[in-house]
Amino acid sequence: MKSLKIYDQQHQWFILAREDVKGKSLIETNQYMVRNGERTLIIDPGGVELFAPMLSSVLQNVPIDQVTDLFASHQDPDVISSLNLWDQVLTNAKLHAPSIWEGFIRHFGLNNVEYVSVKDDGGVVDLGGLQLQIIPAHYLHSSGNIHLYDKEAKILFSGDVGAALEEPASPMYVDDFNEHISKMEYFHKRWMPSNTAKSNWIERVSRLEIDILCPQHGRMFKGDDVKRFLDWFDQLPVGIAV
Amino acid sequence: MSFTASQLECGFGMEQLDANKVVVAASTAAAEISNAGHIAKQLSLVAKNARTVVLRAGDAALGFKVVSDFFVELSTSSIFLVSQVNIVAIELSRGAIECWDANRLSQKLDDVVLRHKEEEIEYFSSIEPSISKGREGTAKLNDDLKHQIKKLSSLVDDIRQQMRAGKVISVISRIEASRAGEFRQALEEMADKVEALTERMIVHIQTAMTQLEEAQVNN
Ligand SMILES: [Fe+2]
Ligand SMILES: [Fe+2]
Repeated sequence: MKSLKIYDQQHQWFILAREDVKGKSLIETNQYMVRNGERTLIIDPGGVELFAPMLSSVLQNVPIDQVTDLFASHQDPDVISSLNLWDQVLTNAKLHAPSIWEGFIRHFGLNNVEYVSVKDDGGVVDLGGLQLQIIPAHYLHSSGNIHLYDKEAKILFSGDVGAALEEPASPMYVDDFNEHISKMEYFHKRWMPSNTAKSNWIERVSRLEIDILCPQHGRMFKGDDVKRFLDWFDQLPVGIAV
Repeated sequence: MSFTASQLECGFGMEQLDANKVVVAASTAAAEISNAGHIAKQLSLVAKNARTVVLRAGDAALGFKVVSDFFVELSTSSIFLVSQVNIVAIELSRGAIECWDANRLSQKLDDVVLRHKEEEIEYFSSIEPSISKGREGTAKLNDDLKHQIKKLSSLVDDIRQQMRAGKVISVISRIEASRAGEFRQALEEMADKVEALTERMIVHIQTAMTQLEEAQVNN
């Protein structure tokens, strides 16, 4: 698994990604980590198969007792099925996840980590004084879905929005937006169910200052590509299976 | 996801249980014993009916009275044992799943250890307490599991002993029925039923026993 620091000031952002789990037909995922002093948040920690490389990657950067917070954008297995394993190695941590999924996510096995239910209208993750804003993104694609915005770093973690189905070991950032479209198009048309939810999200997110848009799959969008993505997504009809 | 049998062994050291096998054995044993429990309820009805016939028959069926009393008691106590088996089987399944979880974590942590050997992980030492705690935990869970499986086997064995005694008595009951004059036919039919039900219960109990024995065999 590769780890790359994508923001490095008073606090830091990392992407932990591009682990090639061979022969398992797993969708590739990006995990993110925000470190602020002695507090560390792992965003969408990933599936069971990814736990060992993820833990190794995390430990390259922080000791385990400084991992104090987990964030799950929604209930999908690629997002949080490793929960039971994290639950056994984290002694004092919180999981921030949508309230409507609490009874579901607990089925992964939760004995030690505290479930912090995020209401439908979002909220804040306070990471040792750093305020990370929880942005509602319901029906994108999950009916209870949240994103995370860091006002200081101007980074938006956007869950499955912006996802692309890529070859393993693809670059971390989009380098040619037009070429990238073909890798995102089907995913958004098929996985995203609601045009209304989509427009509503774009309307809210367009008001934020975003330098880096971080999806859970594929490449990150930087600079002008963020706006290019939002414009492209805006005109894309979704929910094509019916 | 799939594991090989050896990966699912719970605990460290020589005598390890296969947690996966234990879960299956506990559930199968519980199902078999609960089937035996349904039969015990039928047996209880037959025995109670027999007791009514015996009361009507008076002196003519005195010998059969002892037999029907015995079966009423036998069915009551086996119904109780069945409920105990269910409780212990659920505990056992839960223990095995806990063991399986702990073991799954241990495997993942072993993977981290390997990665650390390949390329040094800066904060590796911070996870070491979890690694040793995991190893101790799986060892303890394995011991608990062995204890629980023995408890379950011994309960099942109690039912088996009872039913064996029941089978012997059911043979005697036919002799007693033959001495019951005009009630002979009714009592003989009951004796046949008692014997058949007892035998069916023994089959279920035996299957449960075999499952539990196999789960205790080390790989
Ligand atoms: Fe998803
Ligand atoms: Fe996803």
